[in-house]
Amino acid sequence: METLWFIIIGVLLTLFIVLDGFDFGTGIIYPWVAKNNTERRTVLSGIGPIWDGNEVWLIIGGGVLFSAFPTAYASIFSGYYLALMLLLWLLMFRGLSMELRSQLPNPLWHNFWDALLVIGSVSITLVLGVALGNVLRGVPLEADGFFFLPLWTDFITGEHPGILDWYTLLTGAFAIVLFSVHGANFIALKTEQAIQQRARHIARKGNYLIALFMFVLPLATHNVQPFFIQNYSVYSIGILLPVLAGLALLAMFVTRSKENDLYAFAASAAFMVLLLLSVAFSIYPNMLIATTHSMHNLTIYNTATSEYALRTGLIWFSIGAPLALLYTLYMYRSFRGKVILSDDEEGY
Amino acid sequence: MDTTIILLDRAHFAFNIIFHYLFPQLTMGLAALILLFKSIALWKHDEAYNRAARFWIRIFAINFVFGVVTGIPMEFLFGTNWAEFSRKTGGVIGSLLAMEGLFAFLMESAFLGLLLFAEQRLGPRGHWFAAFMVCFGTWLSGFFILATNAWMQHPVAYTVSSDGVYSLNSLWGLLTNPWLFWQYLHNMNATLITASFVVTAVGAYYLLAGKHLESARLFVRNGVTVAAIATILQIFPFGHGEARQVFLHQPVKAAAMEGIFQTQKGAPLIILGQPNMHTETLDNPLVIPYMDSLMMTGKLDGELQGLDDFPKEDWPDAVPLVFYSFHAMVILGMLFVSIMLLSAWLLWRKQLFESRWMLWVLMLSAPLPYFATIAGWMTTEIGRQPWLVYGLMRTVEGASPHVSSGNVLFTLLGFVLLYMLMGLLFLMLVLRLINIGPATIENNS
Repeated sequence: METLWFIIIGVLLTLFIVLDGFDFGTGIIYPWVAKNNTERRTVLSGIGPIWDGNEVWLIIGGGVLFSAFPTAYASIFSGYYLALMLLLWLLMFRGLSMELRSQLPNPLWHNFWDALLVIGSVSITLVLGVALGNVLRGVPLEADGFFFLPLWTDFITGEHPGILDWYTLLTGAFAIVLFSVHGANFIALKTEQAIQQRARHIARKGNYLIALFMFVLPLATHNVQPFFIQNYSVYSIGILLPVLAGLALLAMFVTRSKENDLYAFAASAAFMVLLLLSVAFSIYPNMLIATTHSMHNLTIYNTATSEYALRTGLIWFSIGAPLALLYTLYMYRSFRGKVILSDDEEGY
Repeated sequence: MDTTIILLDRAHFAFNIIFHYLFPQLTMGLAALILLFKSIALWKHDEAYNRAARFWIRIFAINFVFGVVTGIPMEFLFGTNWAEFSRKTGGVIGSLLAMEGLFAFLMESAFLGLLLFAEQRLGPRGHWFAAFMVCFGTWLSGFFILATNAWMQHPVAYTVSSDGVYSLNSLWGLLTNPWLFWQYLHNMNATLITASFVVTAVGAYYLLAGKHLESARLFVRNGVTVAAIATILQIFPFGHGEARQVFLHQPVKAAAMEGIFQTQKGAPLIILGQPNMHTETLDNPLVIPYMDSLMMTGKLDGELQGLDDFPKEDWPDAVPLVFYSFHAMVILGMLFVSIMLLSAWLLWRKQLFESRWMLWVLMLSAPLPYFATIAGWMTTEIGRQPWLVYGLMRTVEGASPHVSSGNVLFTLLGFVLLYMLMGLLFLMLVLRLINIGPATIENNS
């Protein structure tokens, strides 16, 4: 039962990363793909109607973590206190920047919110990548199951790291590249002509950077957490996940060389899904790894709520999740196809 | 745990929730009024009501964005600042927050998109349905959040392990917490009052300014009608029901909010007064004799427990604040009834649109339901102290053990700064929209 909820949370967070990932990525590459006000409005109209729906998956993931593994929720959220507060402030400003830009017809107003969108998107992506790095590297959990991480210490991994160190900065940088490519694939899909060309160009270049990271990151991760190899040797079927991720990366190159934007977007989405599943597979059954002593690891067993709550949780989850997916699909369907700018005041 | 950090953690959550709730408070009530406008438009084929709906949907959308944006932190703040509380009770209340996300959030944002962008494509019935679903979604959201609060006020459907961790033993029991009945009605009706006051105030402004007169009359007519009914219901039966349940289940809170220090038979209803914590008496009381006993027990000489019946460690830590908040809410509630009954009478006599002094009053009343709601929630929450979960877990046991007071203060100040800016931005955008007015918006689209 705990394993099932571990998978559910993994899927929810993956969904959040893949969906919100492309609108964060769009925010990062925004000034490079869209040069004037019309182009910017076009790009914003591509993500405008769906960003908040994408972000809801983070809220749902957080809620499910809270209900199924309260101890892990409490420890993670209070331990990453500073980073989370920064993330929240950035998320707020980024959300506002997309919605408020169109409210006044004034170029200065537009520039201001454009800049906030870019700064917000880059920083949020960095924070998310750093967060993933932190999960992989582990944190100094104490015997009471809590910890508190400073933003940085000496940038070296080890027993008492900071939120930022060389490894998590590496994963953060990777996230920025990955989201940029994913966002570029999305923009190439939603737009035409000049914007599309620029987006395709970014995606093409970015693919090489991702490939480079894929050589460095596994080595770095092995250096930081040698025990990740364990799950793969015990359940050798798991090796399929990173292999498939590699294939998805290959597909990103192939589809991009054929300029097939739909398949390229699907390939980068698949790559992200498989990558995150590989990560989840290697840390299972841990929720949070202790750098202090493996005895302090938070696992799905020592953080889960009661059997009854997990079982009834499945009931509401299996009713709610299809509904939520249905709304999401419906939203995407209503805004499918290339972006067409209208002069409607309501637009972006 | 030292008291500074508990106070800071409380201030942190209080500030965030009060600021956040300013937005949903209007969203939920306004969703219902928009549904009302769409229904009348559909039923009577009255295009004026469609225009009104379109205008308020625009205001609703801005308000909704601010609600979403300030709402994202709320779910995280349980874990960041109240980690011990989250660890121990997440097995119960966590499911409510997860359900809110799963059932309500996507429904709201999907149908709001349709409400805003797809009136032509959906046709009148489809657009009405979108309005219905937005209203349903926001009220469902409110239900899950109130169910969370209701569990903290009146915990049900749980088992507790030897190390003090709570887990759910009946999902149905949690969703049908008896506390929820009056709390939901009282709170949701307050959102309706807020929205009808705001709609009325905008109409009154247009009438005073001599602009958009047709829309203005529609706003005032409908706003006053809804507000007159809602403000009366708010006092009886909703407010009365809520007060009685506090009296029955949380007698210490009831004593603090009514300002009753000594247990007595035939307790008077205190209209005004000043709790004196030094002498433990109420100074300068203005009272209606026997009234409190009559309302709470149904008998003139019914006995009411005073604060002296309870050990001091169970008293709310700020009795005067609970007393003043409660009385501010009640006095505002009475004022609302008087304003709206008078307006309804003038409306019926067909004099309201010409009574400039009354229109001034209506225009300036718009912020008052916000004050009343904040005061009401302060009564509920500060009155719950010293408990975090009533009778089970004290507030001092709930905070994050490793988050120091400096970090809490730093992030609290960060939020204060951010929300001040956002508040200004919100006012600027909404005032601009009100200034543009319904007719101009119509011509542009």
